[in-house]
Amino acid sequence: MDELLREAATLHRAAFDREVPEEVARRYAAAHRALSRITDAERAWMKRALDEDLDLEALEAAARRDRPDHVLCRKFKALLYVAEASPEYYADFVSDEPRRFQAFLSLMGHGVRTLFKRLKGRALLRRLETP
Amino acid sequence: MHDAIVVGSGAAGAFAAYGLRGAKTLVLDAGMPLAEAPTLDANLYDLRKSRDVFHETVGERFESLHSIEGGELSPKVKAPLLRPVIERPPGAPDIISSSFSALLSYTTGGLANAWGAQVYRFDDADLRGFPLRAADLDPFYDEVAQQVGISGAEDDLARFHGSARGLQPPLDLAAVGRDLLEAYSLRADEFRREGLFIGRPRLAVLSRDHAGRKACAYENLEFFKPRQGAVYSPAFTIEELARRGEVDYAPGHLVESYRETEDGVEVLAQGETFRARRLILCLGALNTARLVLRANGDTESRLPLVENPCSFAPLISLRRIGMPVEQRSFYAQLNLFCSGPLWPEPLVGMIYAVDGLLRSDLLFNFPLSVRGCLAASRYVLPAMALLQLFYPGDPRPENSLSIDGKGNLVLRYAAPPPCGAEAKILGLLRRTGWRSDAKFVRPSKPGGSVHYAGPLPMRERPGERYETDRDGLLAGTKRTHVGDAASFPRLPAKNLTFTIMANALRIGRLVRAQLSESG
Repeated sequence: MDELLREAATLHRAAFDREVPEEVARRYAAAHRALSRITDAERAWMKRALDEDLDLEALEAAARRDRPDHVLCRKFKALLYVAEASPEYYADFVSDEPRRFQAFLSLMGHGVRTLFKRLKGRALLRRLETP
Repeated sequence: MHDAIVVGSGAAGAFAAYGLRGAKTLVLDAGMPLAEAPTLDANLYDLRKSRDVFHETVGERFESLHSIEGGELSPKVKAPLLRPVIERPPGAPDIISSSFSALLSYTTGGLANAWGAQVYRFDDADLRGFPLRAADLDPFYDEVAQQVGISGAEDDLARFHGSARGLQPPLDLAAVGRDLLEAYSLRADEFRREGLFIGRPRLAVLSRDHAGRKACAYENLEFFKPRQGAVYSPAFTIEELARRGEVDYAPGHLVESYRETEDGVEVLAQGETFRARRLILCLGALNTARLVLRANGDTESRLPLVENPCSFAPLISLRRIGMPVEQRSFYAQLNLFCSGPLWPEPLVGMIYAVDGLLRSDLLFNFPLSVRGCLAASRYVLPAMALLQLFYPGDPRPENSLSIDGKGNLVLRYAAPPPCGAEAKILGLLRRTGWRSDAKFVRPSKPGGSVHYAGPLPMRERPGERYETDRDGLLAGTKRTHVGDAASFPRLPAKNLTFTIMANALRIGRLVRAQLSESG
């Protein structure tokens, strides 16, 4: 359980750039009841990624493109489902106001950022695959 | 002893029972209940802003996470309060198949508790292969429409939809629907020449209060809240008939077998035997066929299995990127027919708004990092719609249904032929400013349309053991009728549910008349 709470904190920082609320972390850990396919090897992979304090956003961006069923992709999805149910994340998911200019600027920025993250992620994935 | 037993309470069972009014009728049904959702009492977005909606949207058993590891599952039945629609009660048969993901329902109202509510009349072309003409069904369509309450319009799609008798005004469109329909209207002649027709869907969703049910409140709760009064469920009809004493409704009965006797039919359900003069099977195409095979002790025969192949494609309008979310909407927006040189018979599409879905269901489809996906959730999803395209389904020798020695369903389904019309349709839609690309088209897995038919086909002169006549009477029997889509020999691309209802009403009415004649 402690390992899953540590995961929740790290994944949350990577996705939302802030500390994870206790309830979201608890639900993230509990959500692993629905993630029954995670293997020991995948647990070990996650532990190593956390221990080495790697860039999880970059790893996920690379993994999702090449291996969409990667354990990190599944865990990020679980975290976002859990977070989305909470009102404090409403503005992270939904825009209530017209923001055309901000939208294009933000999306262009994220496009560039994603390219960078994907390159970095590929390098990190290769490193993690090295015993 | 009852005059008639109807087995099942879905689209067919409810209207077979409705047609039998005046006869002493028993509806036997697994009848699993759906939970009430008293906490979903406001607009989805108001709720999401004001309080935690984990229980209703994700679920204590994390039902909404199903797609992460569990594979494709319609968002209509993924949410926690709607999941019981497809849950299997103890003792229900397994489905054994590596190639066909079938959904069955054991709730009162059946799969129509989570249907798309699209309503189509089959015309004579649609009824190709049926021993019926549209005129045979028309009065029953009218009667079902009166009971259900249908909203829609008489527009460019009138030639496909047929009679507009008794229609309520169409539902309000969301911005995505308004935008696309306006763009279509500006160049309608051009689209018509190409064989593409767009208009308002006919929906079993109320735009005005009707028969004690409230009109649609556009709360974006279609994917989370069971039994919204505005969206018709056959459970409403069953409950009304039972309340008026016009049927005896017996939930909690999983029917195991039946047999004809000299003077009637005996139905066996979990140790109890029920007797009637006539039997109408309405368990849904797959379960009805399973029960017929089971009653015959037949594990050898392979019956036809038909479904509508379908595919999904996202649509995006650059004009709408950065616009706010549509808080008040109903997800079914526009209806599309593709007719002409592109495909031998009409294809049917629906264009859906995605405002009612969880963002997490969609956002990882963007080719961005997780933070970029969150930005896309805010700014791109309000500019998106989803096209679902249905193809006709015909029986093929390699697609079949049988049962094993334990009575479980065994389904074999070869991959349907490649669809192939999407690229042309998406190319035409681009002229409305709504863009997509054939590389984003995702064919649904076999079984995914949840439109099943074919195992006990109706024929003008049934010859085979597992065929029915035009009135649903099963060949070789005197009192056993098939009331559901098991008797549809093929499927046009139109959603079949309204025709299931009309045909079941026709059969129920006919059985009642025969019962009266025989005293």
